[in-house]
Amino acid sequence: MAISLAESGPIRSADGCIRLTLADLRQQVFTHLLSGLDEYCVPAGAGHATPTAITGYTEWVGERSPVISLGWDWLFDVSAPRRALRRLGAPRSNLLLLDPDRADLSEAHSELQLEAFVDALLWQATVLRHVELRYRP
Amino acid sequence: MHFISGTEAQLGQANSALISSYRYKVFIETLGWQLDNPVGAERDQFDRPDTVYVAARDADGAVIGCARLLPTVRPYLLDEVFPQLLDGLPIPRDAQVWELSRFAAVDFNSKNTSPLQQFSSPAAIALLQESIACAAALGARRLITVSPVGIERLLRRAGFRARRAGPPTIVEGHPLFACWIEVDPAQLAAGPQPDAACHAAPQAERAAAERHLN
Repeated sequence: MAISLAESGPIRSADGCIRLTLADLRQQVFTHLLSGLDEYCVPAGAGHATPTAITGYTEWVGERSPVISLGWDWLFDVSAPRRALRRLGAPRSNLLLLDPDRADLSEAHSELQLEAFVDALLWQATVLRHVELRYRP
Repeated sequence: MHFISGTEAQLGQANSALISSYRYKVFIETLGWQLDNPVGAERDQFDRPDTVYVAARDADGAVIGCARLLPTVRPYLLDEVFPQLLDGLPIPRDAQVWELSRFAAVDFNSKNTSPLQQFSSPAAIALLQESIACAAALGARRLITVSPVGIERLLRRAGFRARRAGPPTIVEGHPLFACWIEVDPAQLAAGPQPDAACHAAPQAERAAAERHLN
């Protein structure tokens, strides 16, 4: 579906899907909404074996209207030399990205660009902090 | 496991009572929902003569899963109770859009099923597939649900085409969101293809897109 070149900024369709270019997406400021551990990773108390990998999820929202919603799963590899969170799987969103001419990208292309976008965000420290606070004994 | 579906009149009083009792056990006793119901039976204002139910039963006839389907051309849960989940969008009112609610697949005869883990069990996947098929037979092209935030990734991991309609919102301490589930005739025929990476795009399309980018 081609969008008129006269239009700019995000466009929201009746089903909630927000269309915008990657350039417009990069102008958005995202705020952390919530993060958590996968249920089987929640510490159950003393005496359990230490997991080698911890997985969880995180949700972020854009600060402008229409509100962009981005969520993804993450992995914390405890055994890795450089312990850090990394994205796990495809992000979930209410977005479909447009190409620079404001034509719809395919779902696959949009998904790949969103993955790269998320990987460039500095989200790891925020998520770690929230998870530590939430699951502090 | 086998399935039954229909309106209350079609299911009959006995089956309807079993579903209502099961819902009470799941939503009020197990999940602790604060609803105004008589003891032992869970119903609300959306349990009407035109409401369609899907129930899973085990070999002994016990209900081990349930779902409720409502047409969006009449009042429904997202419409009347959670419109804020659409972030200002007009509420869907479309004969091809049905709402899926009161979905549960807790087997109380099993000791290993937690209320959240139920959504990824084979029984839950089968019940959802049956619910989607039932909705398709009613003319639905899409379902919309009000769900906890974690449901979207569980649906995608199980191979269903699910996408959020708006940002998650904290409602009484619980993050909820409105979720679209596509009624995909090809998927109905072939069954959902599990995808651990939760991709929205089919694998073949992703592979083609990756080749194009490289």
